[in-house]
Amino acid sequence: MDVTEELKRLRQQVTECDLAAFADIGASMVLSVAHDGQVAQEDMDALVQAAKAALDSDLATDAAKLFDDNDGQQTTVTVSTPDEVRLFLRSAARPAEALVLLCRADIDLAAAIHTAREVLEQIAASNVDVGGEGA
Amino acid sequence: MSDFSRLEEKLAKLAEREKSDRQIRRLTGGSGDVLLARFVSEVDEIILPRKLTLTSESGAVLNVIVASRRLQAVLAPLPNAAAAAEALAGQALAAGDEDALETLGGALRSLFEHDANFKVSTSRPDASQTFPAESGVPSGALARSWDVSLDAAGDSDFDGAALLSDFLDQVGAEATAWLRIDAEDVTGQHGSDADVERLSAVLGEILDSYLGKQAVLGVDPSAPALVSYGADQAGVLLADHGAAKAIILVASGQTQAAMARWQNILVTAKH
Repeated sequence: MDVTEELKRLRQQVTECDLAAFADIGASMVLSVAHDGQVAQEDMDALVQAAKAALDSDLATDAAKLFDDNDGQQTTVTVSTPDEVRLFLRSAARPAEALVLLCRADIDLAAAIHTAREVLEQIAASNVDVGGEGA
Repeated sequence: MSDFSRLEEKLAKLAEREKSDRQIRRLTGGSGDVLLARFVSEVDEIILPRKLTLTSESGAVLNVIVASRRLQAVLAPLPNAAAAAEALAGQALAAGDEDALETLGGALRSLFEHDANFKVSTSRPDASQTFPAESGVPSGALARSWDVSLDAAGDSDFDGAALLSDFLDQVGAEATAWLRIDAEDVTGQHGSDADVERLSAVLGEILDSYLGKQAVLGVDPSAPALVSYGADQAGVLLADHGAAKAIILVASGQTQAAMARWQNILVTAKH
């Protein structure tokens, strides 16, 4: 599976998504990204750091204390601001892998999460072939 | 009302820390050079392609295109600008074109000297307003060319207390419990004693962690934000706008509905 092609497909389905990135948050690396232009390395570093802060931090651990049936791992985190919605999804099959979506503020969140979750699990279930950036 | 004395002691410490961390987006209250510096700061904060719009109280409107922390172009019309600056409108700016930068810097200084209070907003640019990714002038080069240092100050466009009140009023259908905080006081609660107690027990820790991660999460401390954990299962929402905050426990399967309410309130507030 070509991950970049999957991310492109995700952006076609979630039209409010400006950027989709597939990351290994354990290794702190963005493995593939789809965006309308090139993404600077420092911006990719910032994306993976954001994913770690959302999914793998004391904030995530503290929030998990409020779930009755949690296993201590957060799988879906959103950060909504007036200008943007950031969506962070952790793979259930491969917990070190995650998707990061930067989207317009008027996004249909439920549909976006559903679509992104499907794409993420398809990527995680495959033998990953990471392509280049730019989509 | 439950006894929140221990929580409020923690909140007082966090409120002090937050005051010192707060950043402001509005361009206001300074000389032309100060506002120009704050304009460059706005450019420095934008990664994805955006149309950045500054609207003054007198009605002057400046539109520019920014991406990857680069000022890519100014759009016509440039308010109160000379012909030389007008000629730059709609053209991709290039790093190193010092003549163009000097002309544009002069036009912006003139604008900021004429008006001293601008509302800042961003939107996705139209297809006709998109420029090549490699075009534009990085914020650092702008600052050097215009001899300004990066800075930020001002006030937010949103009424945080009212926004949070609207949200808590509307989220009742999805929320099993919530706690509201204004500055360092717990000012409202909803839900069973047991659920309120659960929220109270972890709120201080969650806020402490959250405030330390606002920047990396992409949250502007001067603007409203909602952070949600959980999607299909029960969820936790942290609503934040300056001194007004709330933590909300959401029933199973209701997290996205609650987030949609927040989005609707923000969209309404923006217009």
